[in-house]
Amino acid sequence: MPAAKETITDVAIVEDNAALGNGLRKIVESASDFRCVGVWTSAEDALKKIDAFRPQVVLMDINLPGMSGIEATARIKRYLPELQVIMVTVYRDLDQIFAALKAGASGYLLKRSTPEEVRQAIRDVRSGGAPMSAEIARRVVEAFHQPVISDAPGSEDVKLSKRETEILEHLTKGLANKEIADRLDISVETVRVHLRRVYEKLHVHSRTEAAMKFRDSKEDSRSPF
Amino acid sequence: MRIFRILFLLLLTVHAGVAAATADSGVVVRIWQSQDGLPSNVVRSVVQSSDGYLWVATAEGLARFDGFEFELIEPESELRRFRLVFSRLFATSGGTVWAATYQGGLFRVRDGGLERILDNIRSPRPPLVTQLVEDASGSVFFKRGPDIGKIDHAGKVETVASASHLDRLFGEDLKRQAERGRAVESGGGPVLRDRVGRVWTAGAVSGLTISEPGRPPITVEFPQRGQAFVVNEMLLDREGNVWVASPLNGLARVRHARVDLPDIDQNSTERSFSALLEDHAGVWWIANRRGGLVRWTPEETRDIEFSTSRYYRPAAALFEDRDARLWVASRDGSVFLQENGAFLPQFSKTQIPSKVHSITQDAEGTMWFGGAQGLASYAEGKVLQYGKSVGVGEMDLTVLQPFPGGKIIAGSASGRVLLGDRQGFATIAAPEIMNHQGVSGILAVSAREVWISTLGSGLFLWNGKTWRGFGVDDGLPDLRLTCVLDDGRENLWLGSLGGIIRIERQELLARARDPEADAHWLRLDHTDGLPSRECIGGFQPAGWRARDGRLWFPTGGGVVRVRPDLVERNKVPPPVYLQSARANGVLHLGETGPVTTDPGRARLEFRFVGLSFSAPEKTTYRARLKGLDESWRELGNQRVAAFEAVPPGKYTFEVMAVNGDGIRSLEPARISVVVKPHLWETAWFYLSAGVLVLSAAAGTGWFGARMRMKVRIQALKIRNAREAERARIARDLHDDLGASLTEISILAALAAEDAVKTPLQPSLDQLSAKAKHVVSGLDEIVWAVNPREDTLNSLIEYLAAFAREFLDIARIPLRVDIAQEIPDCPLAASQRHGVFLAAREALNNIVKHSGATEVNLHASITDDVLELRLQDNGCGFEPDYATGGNGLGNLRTRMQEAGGDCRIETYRRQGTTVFLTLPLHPAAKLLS
Repeated sequence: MPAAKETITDVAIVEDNAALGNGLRKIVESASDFRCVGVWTSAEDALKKIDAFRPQVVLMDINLPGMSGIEATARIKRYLPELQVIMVTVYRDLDQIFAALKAGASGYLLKRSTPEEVRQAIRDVRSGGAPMSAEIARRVVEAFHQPVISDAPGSEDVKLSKRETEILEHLTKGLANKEIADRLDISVETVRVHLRRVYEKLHVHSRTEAAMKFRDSKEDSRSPF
Repeated sequence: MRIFRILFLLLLTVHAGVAAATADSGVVVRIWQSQDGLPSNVVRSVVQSSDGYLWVATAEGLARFDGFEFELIEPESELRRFRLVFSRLFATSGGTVWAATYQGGLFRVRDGGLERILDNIRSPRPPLVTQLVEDASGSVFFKRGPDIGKIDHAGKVETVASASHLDRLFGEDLKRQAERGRAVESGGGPVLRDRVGRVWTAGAVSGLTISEPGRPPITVEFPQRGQAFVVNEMLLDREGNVWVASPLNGLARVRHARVDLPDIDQNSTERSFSALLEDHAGVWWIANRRGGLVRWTPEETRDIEFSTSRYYRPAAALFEDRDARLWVASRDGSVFLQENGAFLPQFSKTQIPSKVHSITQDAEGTMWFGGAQGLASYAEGKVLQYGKSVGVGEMDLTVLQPFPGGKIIAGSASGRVLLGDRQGFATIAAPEIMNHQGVSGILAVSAREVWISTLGSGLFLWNGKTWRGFGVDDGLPDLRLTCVLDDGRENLWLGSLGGIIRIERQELLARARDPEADAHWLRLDHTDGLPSRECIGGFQPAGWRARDGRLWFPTGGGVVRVRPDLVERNKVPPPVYLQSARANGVLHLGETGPVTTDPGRARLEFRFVGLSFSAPEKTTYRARLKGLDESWRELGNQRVAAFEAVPPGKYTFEVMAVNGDGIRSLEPARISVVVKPHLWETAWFYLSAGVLVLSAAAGTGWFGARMRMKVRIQALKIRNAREAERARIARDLHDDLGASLTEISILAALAAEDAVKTPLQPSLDQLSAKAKHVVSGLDEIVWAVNPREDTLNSLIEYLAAFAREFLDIARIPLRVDIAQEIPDCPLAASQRHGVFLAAREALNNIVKHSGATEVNLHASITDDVLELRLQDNGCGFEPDYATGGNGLGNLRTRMQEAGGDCRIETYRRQGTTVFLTLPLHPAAKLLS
């Protein structure tokens, strides 16, 4: 529900398949409050240009030639932490999606999503929310169950708050944000903000094992995808 | 500020503390222990096989070492029952390695496995195989206690009587071993005589010492603080490194350092050095970066404060004029002159020159000062400053040097080079030539040969007219140079942030004329004894040739010096071996080619290693895929080469190693590759892919095509269970079909949005929905055929996600209840897919028939049985019906094919619950 006189959201697309990149651009441009600042065909290209264009939201393909979208996300988030990255993927490969979320992405979209779903996801992350599916919620809970063993200096011991855990547990059962809000007697807005924080914590939580992870995901991308 | 950048770079550096060099011993020690991959820190024996690998016998087994990794040689099936404790290793021709055990056994290493030659002896103190020799004809003999045996090629042992030629053979071997670091019979420690005649002895108390006639013995200090380094054996490898097998501390490599550290009190944390020079009397003046100078002679180190002001400033430049007076410029401050032992500030009234970075003197005796204030000269009590009108003006000059013929050459922080005299200066290099990188050193060999080092753009040569840059393409190991020196032996020496670099001057001159000419760069770094490989630049002089010919460089870890006459190239060509070849991610088995690929464009990946034990990390590689590209590709030090999307054809992959000193392998390692024609060229795929895309686009006929393809894929999968095949199909589907279909789905959805309330809308909506459906169908196929998904976890996760998407379309909310702990259990593709199809069928029934408003998916595991429960609150049906009916019968058949079962509980108007159960097997069973 775009409000009148809403500020323009700059969106960049990183997608190696030209036709898909074009399709996504059309979706972005179909909303009057979005502007597509560029369709970049590789992570390397995106990293070079992103600082100049400073989009607020990036739609990032997970499988890119050369540097993977996951690693690109990690790098972008390191230098431009306020930028929101949404992963886009053809297949629901949860291993890869989760790796991307740990690298700092704030959500994911299947490429077969309807234009409305894409636009909604962009608006969601723009307004401080963070869409999360039940499967991802489940993985988040698991990830926080396993303590990160690290002696790296400055590695924070991140834990989920009680409220965040409650919200995640409801999510894993398949409840929608609205239902969760009703059950916990809080506003939908609060649920969304909590989820955003969960993503941030997940990112921090994973940072210590991050170097390893990116390598793994790169290894993975070699075979079979 | 250039200088700050250097400081910053220095602060950023963390160099690994694996190598230790001591100032007085002149050796570099590196140790490998279990944390580095050595099977165990108890090392009994070490040997180099004729193919160049090192072999290490440890308490935890035998391993092959390539300079990077230890590859454990695992005993084969029946040998696992024996406890193999290796005592000694031997090497014979053809790369063969032999391992003797403490139980008197003997094994031969062949094809990466162990082959039993002599059985272990079951007695308390069995005689051991102590010697193994090969005679001129290639026959192998061993000595075990008093017995002598001959081993033939097949591994058969035949006892032979002692004969004179054998006695001689064993006698020679005994002598050789005794000199090569093995104590064969005597109880004493091992002794080794190296190539330059030094004798290495190891004693239990004294540790390792190196003695040379006429010199005091050197004690090798190991980084293992406070522990005596006990030695089992020593080995001299082909490159001249000495390897030490220790029963406590792992494996150590000892090599002669190519640099040494002068005996300045360098350990003090208060000291870190920058500019340095040796004066006419042989006294060294070294700038301490924390302020003050160090006056050093071999006898004495003395700290001297030159500045009396309260500002604590380090020296930025040192210079001794021809009257043997020492000039010191403090950083961003005044210039001082040493008179009668005291440093007096100069030019206090004019404040010009100050903030000086470099000082020099021309042939007439005029002093020149260059720095942040530009250029000034001083003669006969008069200071002259050089403004814009005479070609200088405001520029930050970093280096000044006298130029042959009486002129002065100057370099600036922005990469400008000036040449001139008191009459004026001309720019001979605009900043663009050196990419605006600061000049760090100038060496004017003649008016027709000037070398300029830059901090970031490499080395430049001026022939009086034109400039020629030398960079990465010319093989320069580091572009961030700090100085350039001439050693008087026709070599240029460069300080850099990546070590000390040497190059023959004539080679570079030849390369300037002919770009094809080879240049052999030699780089010294921590493997050669540098405490830090970062030289310090930005202060003048940043390197100095001493009167004894040694070259001095300030580095981040202290001052180091090099004796150019002693720096020898490691001339041993590194043998290079292919370790693995992968085509489309599938490992090629077997050592020889050809590597054949599945049809289609191929991704080829090769891993290899070059053996150079002096400095394995400095070994670089060049490779090519003959047939695709005839020219060599420089790979740097990465040990993997990958080629993307190689078209069908026949190729040969070749790789060469280049050791740290620029010596190449004699022969490249090679393997042939055959890429078969593309998958899409097969008729059925053309047909069905074409039909599929077209029909999806048209929105008609899509279902049949999809089913045909699925059936086809399914059939393929069953016929050919090889994982690789499945992976390839998944990838092909993903890359080509998936992208196109997704594009169609996006376009259709956009078109449908544009067409709202037009006659086209219904059909476009339908097209959009169907396209989306096809893509999710493809998603299923990809998931089903991808071997990476063959796990229980994947099944449950995928099923839950699928159910959500499926029910979303029908607007039925899904509640999920999945057991917290899903064991990590592999699941065969057929089972995984069977269960998935059954669940999908159940979901389909719910959407089609039940009229439910909520669905519950429940997954749990009890007693190794997976139970999936799909419960709806719909209309239900008569229980009798559950046994008949096609849809429900299918469900059971599918589950039974997967090895499970299906049960349905339902009553009219009370909803339906479908139970899908599948017994899970322990992981080991399924994997084997």
